[in-house]
Amino acid sequence: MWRRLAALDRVPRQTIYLLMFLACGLPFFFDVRLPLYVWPETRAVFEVTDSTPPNKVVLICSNRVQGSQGENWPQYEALVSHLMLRGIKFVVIAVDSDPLAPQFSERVNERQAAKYGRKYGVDWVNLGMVRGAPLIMASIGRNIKAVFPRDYRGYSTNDAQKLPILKNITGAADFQILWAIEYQPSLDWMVWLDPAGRVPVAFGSAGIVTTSWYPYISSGQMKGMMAGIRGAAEYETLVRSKYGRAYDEEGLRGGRLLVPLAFGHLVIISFILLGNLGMIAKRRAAKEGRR
Amino acid sequence: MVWRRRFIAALTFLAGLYFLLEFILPPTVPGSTHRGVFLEQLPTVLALATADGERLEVEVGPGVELSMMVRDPTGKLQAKVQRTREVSVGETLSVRTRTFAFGSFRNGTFLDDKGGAVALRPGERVYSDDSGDRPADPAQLAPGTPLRVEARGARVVGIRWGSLTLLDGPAGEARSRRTVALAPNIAVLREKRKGTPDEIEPYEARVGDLLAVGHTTFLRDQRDTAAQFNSVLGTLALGMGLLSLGMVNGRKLRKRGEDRWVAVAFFVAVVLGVVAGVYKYYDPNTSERSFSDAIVFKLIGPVGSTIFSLLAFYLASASYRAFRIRSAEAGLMMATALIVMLGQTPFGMYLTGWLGEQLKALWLPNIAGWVLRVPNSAVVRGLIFGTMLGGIGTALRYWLNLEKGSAMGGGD
Amino acid sequence: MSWSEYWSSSWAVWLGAFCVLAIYSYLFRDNPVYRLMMQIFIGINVGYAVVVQWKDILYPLWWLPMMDGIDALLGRGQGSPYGALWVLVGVLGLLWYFQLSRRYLWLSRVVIGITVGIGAGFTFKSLFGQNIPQVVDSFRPLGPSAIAVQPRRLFALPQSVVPPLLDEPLLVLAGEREAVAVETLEGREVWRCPLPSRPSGRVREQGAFVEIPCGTETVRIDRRTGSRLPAGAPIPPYAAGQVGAEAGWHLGEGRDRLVKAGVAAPDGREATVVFSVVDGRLAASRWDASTGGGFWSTDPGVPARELFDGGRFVLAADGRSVAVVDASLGVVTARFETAETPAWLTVARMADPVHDQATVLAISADGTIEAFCATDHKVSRQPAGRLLWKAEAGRPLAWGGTAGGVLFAVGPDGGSSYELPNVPKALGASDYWDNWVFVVTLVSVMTYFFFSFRREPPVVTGVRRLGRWLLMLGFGAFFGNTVMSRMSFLLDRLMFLVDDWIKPFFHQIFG
Repeated sequence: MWRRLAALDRVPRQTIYLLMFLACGLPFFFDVRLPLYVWPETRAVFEVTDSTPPNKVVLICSNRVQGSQGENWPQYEALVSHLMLRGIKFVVIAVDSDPLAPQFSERVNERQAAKYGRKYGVDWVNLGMVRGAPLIMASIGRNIKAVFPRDYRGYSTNDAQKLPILKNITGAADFQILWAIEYQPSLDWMVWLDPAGRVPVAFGSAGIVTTSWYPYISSGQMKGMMAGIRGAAEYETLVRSKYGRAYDEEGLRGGRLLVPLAFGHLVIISFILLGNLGMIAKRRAAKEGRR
Repeated sequence: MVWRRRFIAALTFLAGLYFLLEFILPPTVPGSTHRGVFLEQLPTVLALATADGERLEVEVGPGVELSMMVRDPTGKLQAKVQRTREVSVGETLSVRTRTFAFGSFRNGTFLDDKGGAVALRPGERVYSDDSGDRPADPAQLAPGTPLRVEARGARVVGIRWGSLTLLDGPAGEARSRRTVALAPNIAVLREKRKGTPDEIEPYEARVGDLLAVGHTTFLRDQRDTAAQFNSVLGTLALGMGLLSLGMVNGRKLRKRGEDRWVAVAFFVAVVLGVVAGVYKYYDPNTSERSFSDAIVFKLIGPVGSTIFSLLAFYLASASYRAFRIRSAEAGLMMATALIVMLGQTPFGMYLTGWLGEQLKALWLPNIAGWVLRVPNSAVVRGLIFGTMLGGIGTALRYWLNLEKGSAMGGGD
Repeated sequence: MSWSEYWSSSWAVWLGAFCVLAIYSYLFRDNPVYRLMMQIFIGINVGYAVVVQWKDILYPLWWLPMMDGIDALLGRGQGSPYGALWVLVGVLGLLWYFQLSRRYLWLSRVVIGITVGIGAGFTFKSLFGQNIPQVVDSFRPLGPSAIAVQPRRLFALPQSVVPPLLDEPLLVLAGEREAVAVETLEGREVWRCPLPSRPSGRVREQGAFVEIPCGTETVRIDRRTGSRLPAGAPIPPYAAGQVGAEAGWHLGEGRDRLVKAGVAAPDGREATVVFSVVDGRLAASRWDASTGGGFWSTDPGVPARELFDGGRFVLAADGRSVAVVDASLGVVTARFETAETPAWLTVARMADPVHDQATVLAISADGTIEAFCATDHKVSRQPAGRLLWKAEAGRPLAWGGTAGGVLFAVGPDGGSSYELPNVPKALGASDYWDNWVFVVTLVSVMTYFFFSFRREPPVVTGVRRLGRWLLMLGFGAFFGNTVMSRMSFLLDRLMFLVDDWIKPFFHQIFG
């Protein structure tokens, strides 16, 4: 028996690839949703975002580009759908990103705005991209309109008729929370945006870098985060459980991507276990053979 | 060559010195800085020669904005707000003297939204956000439109500097009042309960503010220039990648092997990339821009993320082959990895959810969360401290040129 | 959709799908199509990056300022001649390319040296800013503390026999014989103004003036200079117990009515709202009666004999019983009993805006300050109404107000300012266990990294071994998250293939 099991020690890589492909690809053809346990890191930032008063805005630095969209797109879409649903005002910027980032953000903004009948300039504004982190982060905290004299569409940020959302917005004191959504957001946000630390910072980042954010969450420098696709799916769950039917989930990606993710994890876990079984079997078989 | 090495070492030291001094030194010159409670101020007055040849005196106060045409980060000439202390005689400025909301326009006079007449002095004109370089046309303004009264292109012919009166002792005594004269490059800083003081314009001070008034060290003023220098210098190396890849592919071309066509494809692609880059700056809805967008969104994007996604397959086969429990430590590592992987998917709840609320702590997502939040967090913090001390050490070694690496010329 | 329409809208999807599959073909075995795709990808990226970096960075940040500077040197244009110095930066930048020359390689070290120097300079600042809080958070309580949290006393304040005016940066107090203004950062005196008689009502703000009712007369003082203005000027309506809409909270004469401007009403808009007690119920209605209507009415659960300003909250009190009511929703968030009868109630405005830090401060006439949770504090796990701390001022107090996390408490014998502590976290046994694990892990990992002795004591060897074990645990967690991330890239591509390519294509074929 050991000898037969020992074959598990050298499964050809093509087999593994094929199984991965099937495990991750097939769930897309079925509309499966799995229940989800919500982690406190996601819940904390959801609650701060959800309790934005009418005189404050949510500041989102979205540096999402095609390269990182596997995780950042679901996160950004989940966040924006929540803000649009609730009518929470938000300002989107991009710092030191690919010049295409504002364009990516605006596609999502417009799709979600259409669902809930929100208006550009009243409910949200996209200010485009600037360079010069970390110094520019401090300037944004002092006076965001000086950093962005015009928005992405060319309106003056001081024009209260076109952009009423910015009328009473100046700097850090007017931001409810900063969301930095990127493959690996810069830790400098915690230090530079508001040196007094009054603006809670939340990251939406790739799962791979979330491991290193936990110490910053426990020290309070970061309020919480969305961890990869899981974080996006949890955020959607939180919005759904609080607002129920009013929440239109058409086009949201988090919950949908979570299912194939789970199956993909299962393939990797199984192969790790099988590989070890194969190794043990091979040793036993060698021992038996020597006897 | 000793002198070469010393020369490079000196340059390295100087390059880092600015950032270190900017971090350590206060924003105003210590010793000559006055600190106290703000009581009153005498405003600074600018004498201007306007573009029409008129003379205009402007008292710098709330509502007044001095701006200079400078290049913005996209290269466009744009008005940039100047601090009063940065203004010097002989400069050309745009001076906004006040703002109001449009009400109506009668007999050649603007009325604000409360019906008050806005009297214009010689050299002043009214502009709106949309009017650009031309004065606003009253016929096209909607009531409530924000308007600005400005003297554009005015040359500063004289400055009468104001002063601030600070209190640095008991309120009743005359000698605790101190008047500090303003002058070029005298910065006014307002102290806060937490964090570093903010620089403000003298007229923004409120009675009771704690101020520090003194000559600026210029270090903070030059932060933007320093950042610009840094990014320009780094970017000037942009041709290096192209040159070295070109050399590699050029060699392939000359060899006439099977790879020849791949090398040809490389050069064609470079040309295509350059064209896409140039067309990127065309207006949307032009065919050039659509071509560039197609290359970026439909070709580079999908290919780039697909190449990244190959890693998922490599990771699967690598973890199958390498993740073998050959020691207890490897076992611990594998157990943690499995818990974290399962705990972050819905399967975690399926496997352990039946334990019920009472044993909630044993749910896989909670175990995974605990591992990440407590021991992992401490490990990462250990790594952070390690990198911090190591980073400072390495930074010091490079900065003071104690490092003997080949790139720094230590080896020769 | 006809096939020609399909192709004209879907060619890009087919191109994308072809690229994806061409690259995945490498998983089966290395092949020329894959190599070709790779070279095309690298080539386009390099060509594109050169143009974009020139257009986005070098042209605006280097070329234009340099040309402006040269023009200014030649007497044309109005830029700064110093811009011409950017020529030197260009020369420095050219030195990069000496990396390709063996003979002049050393020249490229000049520019590398400068870049490294700048990087080192940046490192100092970033590392300090990011990591000081990390060091602070590493000192964790390993057991219940014997010392309770207490507010920290900052500086002394002069006496005030009536509620003073707190309007940062000034605090204007009215004593028996004179009014004193102090600034709120260090408590330095700004001005003094003698009063004709003992003040009889609270200090009020009226634009550039401060008003203090003294018996029959109202004293008006210029808040900038402290000089008294002549009597006889008309008194604005609110001074007779009415409202000043811009000034925020005011207390009506009977203390059974509060008016606040800028309250977020339940409909989300800001309004001026009157809170009053009607038949034992606390009711909120629009100040401007013409637009009509009450917002809410609620039973506070205690007889509301007195109402106090609590920012987002209204505080109703009867003796030692206090109810905290959310001002915009009318929900009672907490109810509690104070140890001493409060003379004044206020809600602390903390430096941290996250509202779950809201704390009610009860100030009693004998100088006791008590702090209670205004709502459930989720972060610190303290329930609404729990007593957080209690402090003794050591002298009678009559009023308290907060700004930026600092409490100003005064009475007829003077007062003090206090830095308010953050709401302490309620720790249970599992928290202490977590803290032990955390600290032991941190210490052993750092021992593993930093210390090695020639003749190692066995304890150190043990700790270092533990450190290595725990490091493995950390690497395991890293690995788990890496899998999640890498998988996401693949899923994004598969979602593209299925949703954008296969499904619409099948739909086109089968309708």
